[in-house]
Formats: sequence, structure tokens, C-alpha cells
Amino acid sequence: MKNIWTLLIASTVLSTALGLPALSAVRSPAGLANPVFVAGQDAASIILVGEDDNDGDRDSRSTGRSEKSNDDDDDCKSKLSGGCVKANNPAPAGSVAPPKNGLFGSGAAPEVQVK
Amino acid sequence: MKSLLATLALTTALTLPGLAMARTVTLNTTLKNYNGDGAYLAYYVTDASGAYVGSLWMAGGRSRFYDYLTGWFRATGGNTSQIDGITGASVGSGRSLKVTLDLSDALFDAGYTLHIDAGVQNMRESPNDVTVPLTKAGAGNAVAGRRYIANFSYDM
Repeated sequence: MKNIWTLLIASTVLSTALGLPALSAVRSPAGLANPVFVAGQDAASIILVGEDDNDGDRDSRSTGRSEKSNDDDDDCKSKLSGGCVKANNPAPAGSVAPPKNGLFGSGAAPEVQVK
Repeated sequence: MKSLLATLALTTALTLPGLAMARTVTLNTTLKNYNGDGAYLAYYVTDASGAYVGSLWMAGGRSRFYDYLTGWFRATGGNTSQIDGITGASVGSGRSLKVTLDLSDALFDAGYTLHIDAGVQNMRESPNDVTVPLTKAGAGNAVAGRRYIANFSYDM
């Protein structure tokens, strides 16, 4: 019985000795345990890995034309057509018949040669 | 046997006018050495009043660059359904493009004009780099371009 009381008192003393400094550190505004995000404070912007500020378009000073990246993922229609809307690239020759615009004699696929 | 012959005659009669109404036309385009990226070229036709009729070929498959082709883009709004099935790769500086198409015979000697708009990234766009009336007599005659196209001709 005496041993049990001794163990209880020892554990209480140890808990108090270790727990009180830890508790005071959490409550201190300048303590080590400051939260990263605090309500009401201006939070720093979150930086995502791989975030890219460049939208792929850069004005060309010499010509005034927009320099556009060759990235397939960010294809968008011209800004003239009202913002960046996901664009549909046309079907390549041979994959579908030419359009029925009255100019083509038949649905024969065009033949192309580049030298 | 009689009905078979009649059927053959009928199908032949229906097919021949169709063949006669179409002709194979080759568009030959040679670019200047302009020292830039591959050129986008839009080939399209307007009627006698200048109204857009349709497109014949688009060199360059990325629709986001089509606003470089200002004349074609203004006429079509960049609608890619106009060039489905008639689109190929852009053409490099100094290179030649030869496109063979099966075109309607009614396109020639009827007041139609072929326009070629050219555009190169980071360089000035060139609407109507070539404009040529579509006539049977004009076949084989080379026409000089304004900015990126050295010369253009069509054979039939």
C-alpha cells in the first residue's frame, strides 16, 4: 500500500514538473508553439509546388504580338474571342472528310507534301 | 438481264456528272527565308462580293494561334469546324508546301478569289499575303506573296 502511494505521488510530481512548462509555452504568444495560421491575421500566401506565374502568354515588345507557349495543356481560344476558353483543335486531314462547304468535289482526303 | 443493264446505265448516268463537276487541284506555296518559327497559313475563298465562302486548307493545327490569321479569323470567328479534315502542320521558313485537293469545278471562272493569310509567332501577321482569282487560265501562273510567301501557284 505504501508503495502504491509512493508511486502515485512520484508520477504526480513528474507530471506537474514536465506539464506546467509545456502548458505555459502553448499559451505564450511569443512562444515556440505559435500557430501557423491565426484567425484575424493576414495569412501568408500558400505556395503550391509547381505553381507557375507565367500563363504562357508574353507580350512581344518588338511586334506587339502575344508570344504563346507551346504547352498543349493550356490551349485556349484567342483573347479576341472573349477570354481563355478551352479550344478545340481541328481534326487533321485524313481523319475526317473535308467540310461540306460546296468547295470540295468529293470527300477525298487531301494529299500533303512539305519540302 | 434487262433490269441489270438499266440499273448500270442509271448509276453511270448519275456518277459521270459528279466526276465531271470535280477536279484535282494542287496548291503550291513556297515560303521566304524569314528566320522565324513555322508559319501558319489559312487558305480560304471569297465570292465576287468579298463574302467568305469556305476554307480550303489550314497549315497549323493549334487553334490558339489562329488569331494571327486575321482575315480568316475575322471571317470565321476561329470556328475550327470550318477546317476539320483539311488541316496539316505549319510550314517552316524557306520550305515548300504542296496540297492536292479534289475541288468543285464550279469554283473556277465564277468570280471566286483565293486568299492566303500568313502568321508567324512573334512576327507581324500578314492577312492576304496572297490573293488570286480562281480561273482556269490562271492555273500554273506563279504569284508573289507580300511578306512570308515567296510565291504561290495552283495546278489543275
